[in-house]
Amino acid sequence: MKQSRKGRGSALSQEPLWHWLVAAAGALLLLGTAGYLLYSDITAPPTPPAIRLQIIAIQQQPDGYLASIQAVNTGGQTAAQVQVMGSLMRGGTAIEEHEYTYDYLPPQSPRRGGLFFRQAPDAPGVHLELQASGYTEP
Amino acid sequence: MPRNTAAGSRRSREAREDERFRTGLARAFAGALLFALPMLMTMEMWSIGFYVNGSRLALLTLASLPLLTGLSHYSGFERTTNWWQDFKDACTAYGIGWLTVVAILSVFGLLHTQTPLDSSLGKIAIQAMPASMGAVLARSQLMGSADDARERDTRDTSYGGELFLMAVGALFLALNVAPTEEVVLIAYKMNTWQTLLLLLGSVLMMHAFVYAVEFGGSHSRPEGTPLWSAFARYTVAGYAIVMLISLYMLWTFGRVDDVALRPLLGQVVVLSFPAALGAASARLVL
Repeated sequence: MKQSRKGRGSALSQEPLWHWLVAAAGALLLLGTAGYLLYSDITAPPTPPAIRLQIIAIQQQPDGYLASIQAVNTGGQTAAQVQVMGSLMRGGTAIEEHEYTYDYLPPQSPRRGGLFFRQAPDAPGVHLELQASGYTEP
Repeated sequence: MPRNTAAGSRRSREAREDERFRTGLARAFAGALLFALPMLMTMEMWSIGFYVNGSRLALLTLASLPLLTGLSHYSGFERTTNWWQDFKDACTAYGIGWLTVVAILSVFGLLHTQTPLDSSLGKIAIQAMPASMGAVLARSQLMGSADDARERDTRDTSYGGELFLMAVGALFLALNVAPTEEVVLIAYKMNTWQTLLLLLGSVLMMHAFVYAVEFGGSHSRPEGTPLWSAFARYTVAGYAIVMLISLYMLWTFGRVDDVALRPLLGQVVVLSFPAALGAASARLVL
């Protein structure tokens, strides 16, 4: 690096241009990150977790059936240990019930899981009810 | 008489070079062990092979060759302009790192023949990276004499070289921390103000580490360079590199998939904190 005692003005010119381009790119990334964090907090302050569940697919397997499920936390806070319960209903009674747990469900981030059933969830007269039964704060 | 002396001195020179090479190998194994042991004794690293995407791990492994080559080039006490020599050293270091990891995992009973090969290889590959970095550094940093150390201090590293060293330091610490669940957990526990504070703190820490605290003499600002110039071109650019490396590490370990931007940025800022420390330390030490 060349050395100069002339002061601030010459410091700009004594370094190659690409140094400043790298610095500018870096500053952009840094300020962009900070800016987005601030913006997301100001425009949408965190609301409690709200879990939306939907069945993606039902597959037949050698030992039964697999119901693939997707969960989305539409709230503003992360939920931990989210328990999802699936009840196979015929008429008004539950004929089979199983559950699984997500370690974390961050906001707006779809996550998959699945439930194994012995009876067919897509049989006539049978439907699968999904519910998120609880969570903890991380 | 002169013929005998010449042959004799050549033999002793070859013997000295052989001994130097063997000592270098031993140091390399020691360095590999030093750098890889914390990860080798971490539970999450053992199950890596089961859940990490093989292609991403392959990319990381392939990327380690140019990384090690550059590391060999910039951190050695000899200013080697021969990239081919650096590449050969890098390959040797990777081999040493790989063998060290296999040896330790075998002794710990963590490598089983029943486990499918790709899981075992995944487990080995991820830890061979820091091990090989340790092998390169041990050979170059610890092999010089006092004169070489002084020569290293006065040597001028290019701007690109400095950025590269920061990237390597960031990669090493990020690699150690990213696979663990704590990064994700800490990010979820922090609110936005804490995240911003951590971001600011990481940047200031990087700058203070290298300039204001002045641990070592090799990076003090040259006469006449204003503070903001060094801050913008080294610290800001450096932290941006740290963030990108952190993002890459999170992606490799599957922490980016299906995550919205806001929680993802939280994870990046959390991981960038140790990575920034690694980057600043690398500039001082190397």
